[in-house]
Amino acid sequence: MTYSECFQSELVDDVLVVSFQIEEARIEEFAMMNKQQVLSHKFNKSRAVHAIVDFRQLSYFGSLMLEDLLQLWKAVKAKDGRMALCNLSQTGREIIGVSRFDQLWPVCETQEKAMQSVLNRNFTK
Amino acid sequence: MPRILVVDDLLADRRLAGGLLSKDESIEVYYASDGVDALDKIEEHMPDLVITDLQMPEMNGLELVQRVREEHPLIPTILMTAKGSEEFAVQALEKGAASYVPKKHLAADLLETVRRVLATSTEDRSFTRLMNRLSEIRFVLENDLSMLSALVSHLRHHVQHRRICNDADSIRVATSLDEALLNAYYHGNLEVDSALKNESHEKFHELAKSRLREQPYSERRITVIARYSPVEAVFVIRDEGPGFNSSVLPDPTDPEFLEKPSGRGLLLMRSFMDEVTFNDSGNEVTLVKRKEEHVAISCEDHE
Repeated sequence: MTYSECFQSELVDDVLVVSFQIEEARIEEFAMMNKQQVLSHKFNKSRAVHAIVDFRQLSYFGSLMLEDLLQLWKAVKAKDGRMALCNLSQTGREIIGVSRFDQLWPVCETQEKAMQSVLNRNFTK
Repeated sequence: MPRILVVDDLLADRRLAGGLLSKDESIEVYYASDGVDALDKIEEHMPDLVITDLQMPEMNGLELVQRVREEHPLIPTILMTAKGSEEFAVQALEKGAASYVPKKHLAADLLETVRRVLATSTEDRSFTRLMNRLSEIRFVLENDLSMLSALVSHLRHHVQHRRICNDADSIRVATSLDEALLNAYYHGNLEVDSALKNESHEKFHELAKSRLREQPYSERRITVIARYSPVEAVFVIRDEGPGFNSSVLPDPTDPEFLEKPSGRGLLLMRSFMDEVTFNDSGNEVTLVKRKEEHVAISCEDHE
């Protein structure tokens, strides 16, 4: 599997929604995504202002993915946008919590709630 | 003599399945009337195989398949599906059932399916028993990320099968091993500094790639030793680089460093393992994961 098959992205109005399509990624796939900075690159290439990362079935990830999220966040901030994460596994939530990244972005249960969050409409986690 | 537990709330169906199995005189059959009863009977008889109906009160067949998978991973399950419930067969296989048999084909297929599943599970069980006697294993790997992935997957499988960890904890172990191996690969053997990522992630990875072909980096290896006991797994990961001082890393959770790239791997290791220590030169890390009840005992010892 190539890293481009690891996730899908779509533009919903001015929100880039990135959804992972895999349950587990190998180290080399995370390394390739990290090298290409795929998430921030996709965001910068689009007309999106906000971003949602939907982890769906991805059971775990590590520091390389956290760096990718940070780079995406820098790109979102540069456009005065908002970012949210959703559908994290139990371990995924722990990783985000341990890193204190839940202080940077809301961690939502569903993509719908993440959408409300970035669009700031009646937001509840 | 293989012991088989037949689970069905309908007495007639239990008798039908049991009768078919009894054609093989070497098979000993036990019965349970629903999923909850089945879990008790599993504890009591420790069967070699569980055959279950799908629709039952208290706990249905799918839930039972999942519980057996979680609590007794060495006991295979076979689901009996009635007409109109074929879709559940796929779900059962996803939840860990070894096979399924439509009820209308029980007479023709049940015994053959049971023999096939038992043959496979006996082989798996023997292999697992053999592997459980492995107390130490050592890998010496060149700098190849795909090999590191394969190794993490192997070690995760081991801690799970040895029941040192449940599924969730084995994911935490895999996360920590990923991080320790990435440190050994990038920062240890290839000596590429995370600070380069402040400039460009591409430069960081390009430098790593070019060093894979340059001496002395290209000749360095990563040694991984896994030691297992009934109560813990110990992983020693050593690179052949000059080492580093882990105490000088900034705290990545400090608001000042929250958006900086370094230190998060070590943070994850420390969060998910019970013990993380470096040798004096900083090129060897030892990660310890203890079985849950022994973590509690160990904590009490320190009080």
